[in-house]
Amino acid sequence: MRAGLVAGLLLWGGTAQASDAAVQPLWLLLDGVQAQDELSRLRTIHLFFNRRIRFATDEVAWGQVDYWASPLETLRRGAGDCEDFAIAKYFSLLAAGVPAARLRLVYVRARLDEGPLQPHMVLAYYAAPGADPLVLDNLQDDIVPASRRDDLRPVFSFNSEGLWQGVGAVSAGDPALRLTRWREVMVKARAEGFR
Amino acid sequence: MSLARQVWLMLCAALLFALVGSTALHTWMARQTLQHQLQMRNDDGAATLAIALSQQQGDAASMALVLAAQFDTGHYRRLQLLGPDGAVRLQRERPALPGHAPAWFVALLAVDAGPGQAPVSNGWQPLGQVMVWSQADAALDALWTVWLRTAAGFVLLGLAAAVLAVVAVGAWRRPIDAVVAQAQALEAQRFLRAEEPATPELRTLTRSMNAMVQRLQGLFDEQARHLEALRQQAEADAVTGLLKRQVFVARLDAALRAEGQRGSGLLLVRLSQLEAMNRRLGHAGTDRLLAALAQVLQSYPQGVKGSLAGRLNGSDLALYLPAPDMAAESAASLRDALRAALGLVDPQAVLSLGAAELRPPVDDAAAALAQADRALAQAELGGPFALSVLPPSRATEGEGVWQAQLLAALLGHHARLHETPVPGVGGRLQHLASALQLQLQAGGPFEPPARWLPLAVRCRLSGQADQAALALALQAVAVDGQPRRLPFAAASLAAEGFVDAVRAQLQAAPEAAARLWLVVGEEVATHPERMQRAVAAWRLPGLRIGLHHGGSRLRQLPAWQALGIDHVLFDGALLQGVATQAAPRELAEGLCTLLHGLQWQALAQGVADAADREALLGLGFAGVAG
Repeated sequence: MRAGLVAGLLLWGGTAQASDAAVQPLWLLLDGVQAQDELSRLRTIHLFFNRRIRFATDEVAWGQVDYWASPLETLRRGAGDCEDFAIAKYFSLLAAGVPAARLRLVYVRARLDEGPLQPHMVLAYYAAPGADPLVLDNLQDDIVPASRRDDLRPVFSFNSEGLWQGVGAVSAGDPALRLTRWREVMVKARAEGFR
Repeated sequence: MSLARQVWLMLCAALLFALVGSTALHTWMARQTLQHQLQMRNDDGAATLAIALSQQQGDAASMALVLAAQFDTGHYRRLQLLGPDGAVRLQRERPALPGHAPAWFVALLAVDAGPGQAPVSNGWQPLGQVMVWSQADAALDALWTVWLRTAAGFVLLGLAAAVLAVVAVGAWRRPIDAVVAQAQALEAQRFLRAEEPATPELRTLTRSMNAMVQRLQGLFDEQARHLEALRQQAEADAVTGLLKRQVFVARLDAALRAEGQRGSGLLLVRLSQLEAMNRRLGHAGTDRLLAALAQVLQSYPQGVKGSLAGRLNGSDLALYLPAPDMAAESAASLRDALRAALGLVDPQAVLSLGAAELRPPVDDAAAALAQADRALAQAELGGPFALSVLPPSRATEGEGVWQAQLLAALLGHHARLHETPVPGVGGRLQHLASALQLQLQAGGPFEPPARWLPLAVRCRLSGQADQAALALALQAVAVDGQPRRLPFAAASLAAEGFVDAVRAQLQAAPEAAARLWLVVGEEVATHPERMQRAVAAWRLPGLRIGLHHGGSRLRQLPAWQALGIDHVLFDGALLQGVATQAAPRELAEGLCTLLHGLQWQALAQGVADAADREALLGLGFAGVAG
């Protein structure tokens, strides 16, 4: 895992961007969490992004109605919406050694501040199959089990498990397979050195 | 391998390579595209199904219903819902439909898109995966159709390219073949002209070859033209431009002997009272008058091929017409034309006209002239501008009898060779000129060829006569070892089996054959392939084969190169006066030069004057007979 990261770093460093100030702390952080247990890693990375990234809609951050940014894009921009947070945490946790099977990106309907239900996305962590997942929400620094989040109604969840088998055979530049947003982000993250 | 074949092979290989390669490439690209499309369809189907299943709150019956609904309304081969443990929870499947693509094609180009996968969840809990396989048979069928069309299209294109190639190869092959043929012809001393092609390199080659051939041919032609002019000068009477007496007689002889002729006419014109006219008009005036008459006569040889016009002596002019039953009519119109011409120069001048209709066999020119003379004598009794026409002296109804006699003489060997020694340089015997004489009636005289040859040609017996002569000559050579010259009729070469029979005779006696000169009538030159075949068949060491030049234009001589002969026999009439006069001498010299250039020997016969004979030998003729 680490070797992959370093290789990615070198690869990226070749373009003289890996060492830029916005990205450098993430690499240091990922280096630092290797020794921690999974829950600590979860918390460290959750807080890293919640504190460093300012919430902004895609229209504000990227000038587009909907844009799925890769982790480093989000870090450099310093801003992102709920998807960008979830994606950045997902790939960072993978990079920190958390198995993909324990992580899921979840579309939820959220009741914020007693208002109407709004579309939202969070990252869920399953310590074991069938267990009550922990919710990593960009709106809350606390990581709490899903059973205690009455304000969230899960709709659909997914991760990158099994998807690589369709992508791995062909190059990341294959236009036909980059058509979905999720796959596009996966390809971008991989190119940035994440796995 | 020939150049053309190499190019063909290369073209075919290139076409086949391009065709197969492009078809394979095209099909492969189409397969890749189809495979991607299919993969995307699988992925999208999986995502859609997974989202729909995730909304069922984990209710198994609802999920089964949704899965069945999607399967039944979509183009799917198989739908599966796998639990988190990977076990199959739900599945719908239908067998692959038989497509119309053949099995080998399916095996070779199987479209193997992976199944579409998407996760299914119930609330926070993952429920597993859906797997989606779309119908790929339609894709394969589409690929097969594409392949068929592509192959058909490329085959059509290939055919078009092949047609273009045929045209292109033909375009440069024709000129090359032409130049090769030209070079081969040149080797056989024939001059061909090739058409200039459009390709610059080939055009240069062809042009150079043409120029060379033309220069060579021009050289020979120039020589022959010069000789022709000399001949005409040597043959023509100075005052009238008509043929001199000896020349006319010799030509008449040849014409009467000519094969295949069915009769002819001879007209004599006599200017009466030449002495008185000389006194009245003066010498020059008389010459002018003669020239005016000659101009009228000359229109016949100029217009009718084979007719001859000559001046026999001071007051007598002669006209030979090569066709039968023309004498009377021609004599009348000639008389009117001559009268008109005379009227313009000297109204007092008077002439008579005698015409004889001739039928073969006629002995010779002297006999023919005697007949015409009789007619003229009759006409002179009739007064000024009288005209008398003598009917054919010998009726043709005797022909059957003659033919029987001829055949009997040949079969009964009533034949002998008449031999005339032909001296060469220094008076040494060059060879013996042999002519076949036939005893046509028991106990009768042996008749010369002039008497029976025209008839023999008409009856297609000349070949047998020539074979009989050859047999006698070979025997004679075997006895005394003297070289002999033997004439062959041109018509004999056309007879079936003649060439082979002669070859057998020659090969049976090669030593005797090595001392023979075979001289074929010049008429054979109009069928060069006959002569070429004969020369090829008879070729033996020592044997000489030539042509008898019987008064045709000398310009034809270079064309005889194609025949493969080695000598030419000339008639003495052409060379008369060579010892004393400049024009015949120049002609003889020119002939020798030309024949030397063509590597032929020259022979002459019928040279009456001993001094002329000496002169010709001195100029390089191999043998000259009187």
